[in-house]
Amino acid sequence: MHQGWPPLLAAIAAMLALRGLGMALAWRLPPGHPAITWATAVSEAALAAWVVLALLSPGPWPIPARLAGVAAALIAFFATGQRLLPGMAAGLAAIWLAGQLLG
Amino acid sequence: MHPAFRLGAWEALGAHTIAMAATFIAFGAAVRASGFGLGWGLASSAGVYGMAGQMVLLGAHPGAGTAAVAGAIMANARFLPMAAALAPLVRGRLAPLCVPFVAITPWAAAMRRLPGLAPPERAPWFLGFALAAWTTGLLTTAFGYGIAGQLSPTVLRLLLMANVLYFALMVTAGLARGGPWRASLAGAAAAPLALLLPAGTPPAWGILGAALIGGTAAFLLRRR
Repeated sequence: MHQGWPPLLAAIAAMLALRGLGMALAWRLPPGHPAITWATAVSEAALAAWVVLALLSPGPWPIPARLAGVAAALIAFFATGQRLLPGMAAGLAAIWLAGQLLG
Repeated sequence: MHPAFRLGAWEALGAHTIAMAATFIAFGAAVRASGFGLGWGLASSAGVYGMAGQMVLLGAHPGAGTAAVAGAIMANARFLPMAAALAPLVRGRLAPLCVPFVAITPWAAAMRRLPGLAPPERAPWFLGFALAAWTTGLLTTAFGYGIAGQLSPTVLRLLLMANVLYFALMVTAGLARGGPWRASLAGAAAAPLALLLPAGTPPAWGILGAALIGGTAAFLLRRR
């Protein structure tokens, strides 16, 4: 067996436990329960934090290129009536272009 | 087949799939570059099914296995509150089947779509969407593994940005229509705190900390 398999199998079991535990903890709670509201807020905050850190942390593209990309994506997104694909295409094009300009 | 299942699977195709596919293609290529086999990559996409943790596990080389597992758990710890938030929406006999598919793409789509569906349609919709997205993840992992070496580094780096842009737009769309704006803004505002962590701290800790601080602040502000 390749050395990477035991850690992978352990991680898969842990992921299932995280998901199952979350579902089990909330199983009997009504949708408006404070614990559910808190969990939803933390999850939504995690998504936004992940996006911000993906834009601001050291990464595969210079930070100005990533910011230019997200700006272009937002402009195209709203200019096309909140359509995701044109937004993503404009964003990727802007990242590539800014990356070229920034060397 | 339940009509809501078909609807969910159909709605998974589009920007969701393209963003996910781009990320999983890059992951497949990275699996090969890291010296792992296709089976390992597919098992990771199928079972871990959370890109942050999957990327951490690429470091699971001899001597680093325990650290990689701990890092993957930290990176994907958000699955716990995500599953708790989803539970009331998919409650019923199909709920246990939803557990393995709690991941950022299906979860984000479900939290925006499920409240508008009748309760009996929610779990089938989620399963249809999630299975389509999960299958896409597996197919594109294999595709990325197969074409690794033929992609230029620039294309690989661009593929990694597709998901970032996708979720940036999803969060913005939620803000624009008055969705969970407090939590999104608080999470975004708390995120830079992660940059203050000591060098060498896994980035996942920063995301988790920002989520707990921002999410709890949003929750408390909502309660006042």
